[in-house]
Parts: sequence; structure tokens; C-alpha cells
Amino acid sequence: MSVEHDGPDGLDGRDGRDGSEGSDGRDGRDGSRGAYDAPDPLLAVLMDEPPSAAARADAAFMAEYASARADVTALREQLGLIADALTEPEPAPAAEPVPEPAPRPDPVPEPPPLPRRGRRPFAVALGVLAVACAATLVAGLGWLVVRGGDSLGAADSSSGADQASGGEAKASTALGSPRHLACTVLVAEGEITAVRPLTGADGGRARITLDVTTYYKPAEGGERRITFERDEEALPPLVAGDHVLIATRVDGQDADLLAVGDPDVRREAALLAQSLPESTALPCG
Amino acid sequence: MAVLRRFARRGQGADRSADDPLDAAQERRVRAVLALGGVPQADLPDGVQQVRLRLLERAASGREAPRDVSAWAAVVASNLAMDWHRAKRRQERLGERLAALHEPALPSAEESRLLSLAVARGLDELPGPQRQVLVLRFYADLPVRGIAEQLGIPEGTVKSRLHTAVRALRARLHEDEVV
Repeated sequence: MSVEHDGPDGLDGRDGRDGSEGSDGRDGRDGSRGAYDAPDPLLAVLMDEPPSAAARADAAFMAEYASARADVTALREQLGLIADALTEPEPAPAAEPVPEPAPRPDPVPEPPPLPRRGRRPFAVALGVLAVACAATLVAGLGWLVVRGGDSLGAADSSSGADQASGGEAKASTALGSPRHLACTVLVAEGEITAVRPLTGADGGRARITLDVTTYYKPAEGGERRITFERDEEALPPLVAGDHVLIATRVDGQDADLLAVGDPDVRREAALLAQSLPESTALPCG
Repeated sequence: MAVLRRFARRGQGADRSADDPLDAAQERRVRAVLALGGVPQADLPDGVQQVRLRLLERAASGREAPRDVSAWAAVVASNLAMDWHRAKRRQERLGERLAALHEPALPSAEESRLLSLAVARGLDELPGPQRQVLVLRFYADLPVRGIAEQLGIPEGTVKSRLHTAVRALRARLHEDEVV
């Protein structure tokens, strides 16, 4: 079904797109709940349909109905809160944009290790968030790709939010630190050429192919094309064509994603240029 | 068309005037629907302006005014957000935007923030059509039938998208242990 439609109200219409995904109000969950035709509790909540007398006598239905109702209520509230937060005016930008990030005197503490794969408990994700917030850069939450808990630090980036940053100077938590850099074996910049979901035991992971344009480390360079793995659900999503900066630690097998997009990569590369010379004289650890 | 040009010239920061087709509340709602649809904050004024222009174009073409301007504007804003994604290919991640905002001072606020972040990330993961109906239903508070009418799709499709979207969000929130 793809019918141009202007709606009964004359609204700017949109085609039906996938009108084939109709719902009959059931999701086939339970055809044997009792003599009555049990509706789907979630759908009943979504439609604001009060339970029938028969449904009210069904304890299992009512439990699910109450749970769904509570969740939908929370969802409504949260949408309002999120909308409020996202539409608040941006803080006034700095009076003068800072062309080069200032060197930071102290190394950034190591963040807690993260599990390798699977959905991370939200509390763990928050741990990274807290570290990132302390560094004033948080948009890269979930960027770290880790194996066995290794990570460079709270690698982060402002990602697409840069356009509203007002030129605020931003600090890297990894590339600005010679001490951290000393523990990397590879730091490379390049373009993603493929993102391939893995299957089987590696389901939920994706293999990323990167065509390297610049090797910052090792100085002698390396393969033109490298691959690394990443949780499919990690943010931000990577797609072919993305310009990225990655690093791997001495003890790491996966890459840490440090920056995505030209502005972030440029900024991180600038920090890298400052820290790299000093890092070569430092031991790891 | 002179009216359209005048509005276009007026730009983003102009004072609201009597011929503004959106009142303050409607404009806030439009901004929110755009933001929840993933339109970056920097583009929100343009989005609001486009909704204004659509409304003025409609009037200029001699068509009857929408019965419910707020609902109409919300749907147009949601369509703009969908189109914005198609054009830009990458949407702004609400989770990242929220995470970048200031941390709350109170622990109770932190709990709410965790839930907000989880919901925002859940929204980020939803397919556009599901996200659109979710926002229209639970933020703009439009009835399912109204959404179906306004979008020109079957009511069953709206139900299906809504059901799938909420089920996915619930699963995520429970998995993240924030509800």
C-alpha cells in the first residue's frame, strides 16, 4: 500500500509505506488463558482500553496489565522530560573560540574496566558516563571497544553535537595524555569501508574494516587495511564512510574508538600531535 | 506568497506577531517533537520555521485551516524529522545529547536521569516510523485513530508500530534495570 493521502484533515500526507504491518490487537501470546478471548495487556494499555470483567478476573493478565501501564506511564513522563531537556536553550557559547585545546597538566584516571560483550548493565555504562562527564566530554558514551576489560580511558567525542558547541575547547581523555599514549601500540586514522555483523558465538558483534590514511603509531606505519571488532549496539553506530580515529593498547586485541567525524578526528589528532613526542620516552604503566 | 516571504525573512529570533500561525505552546510542542525525532538542536529553529511555512502555504492555497492546529503541527514536525533523517542519513543520538547535559545534584534526580538516558537510547534505536508514532502518541498525546488519519496509514499499522516500539523500549528498560 502506497497511497498518497492528504488525510481527512487535509494534513500534509505521507504514504502508507508499510501498511502491511497491521495488528489484530493480539500478539499471539496466549490463546489458552481462559474461556474469554484474552487481549494483549500491553495493547490494552496502549489503546487506553479498561480491562473487561473477565480480564479483571484473570490474575496473570492483570499483573501484566499493571506492569505495562506503569511502564507506559513512565514512558510518557520521560518523553516529556527528555523533550524539555532537549529543547532548553543552549548555554551561551564562550566569548572567543579556542583554536587549540590547552595542554592538560594531569593524566586522566583510568576508567573502570568494561565487560567485553553483550548488553552492559546500565550501571556499568553509567560508570563510563561519570568519568566522561568529569572530563566535560560525554557524547562518546559507549564508544570504547574493549576485550578483556582493557580500555584507553574515557575516550570520548562530541560527535554530531559539535555544531552547537559554540567552539568550546574540549579535552581528550586519552590522546592528550602522553602516559596513556605510551601504552598504545597503534593509533590510526582512516575511513570505515565495511561494517559486517558477526554471527554464531560472536553474534552481537560487528567486524569493522578500516582503510588507514594516517598511522600516528607506530611511526613506521602498518597495513593499509585493518579490521577490528565492536559490539553492534555500541554508540555511535558506525557506517561505511565514517572518518574515525582508533587506538589499541599494549595488552589489547580490539580497538578503542576515539573519535568519529572530521571535527572530532581533527581535534583528537591535534592533541595527539602534542602528546606523541613525549609519550615515546615514557614506559607503559 | 508575500506572507511566506515575510515569514521567511523574519527569521528565527523575531518577535511573535499576530499573524504568526503558531502560538507559543504550539511552537514549544513542535520543537519538542522535532527534538524527540532526533533533529539536532541547531536545526530546531529551522524545523519550527518550516512548520510555520507549511501552515501558511496551506492557508495561501485556500485550503481550510486544520481543525486542530496543535495536532497538525505535531504531525508535520514528526514528518519533518523523518525527512531530515532521510536527507542527512545520520540522526542525532538523543542519548548522547542527554548525557552531555549537566549532571543532577540530587541522587533522586540521578535515578530519573538514568531512566531518561535509557529511554533516549531506546528511542535512538527505534526505526523511524515506530519512533514517529510513539512520539505522536505519548508526547503529542494524539489518539491512535488520529495518528492513522493524519499520517494516512491504517489504524492497525499505527497499533502495530506502537506495540512493537513500546515492547522494545520496555525490554530495554527492564534489561537496563531502570524500571
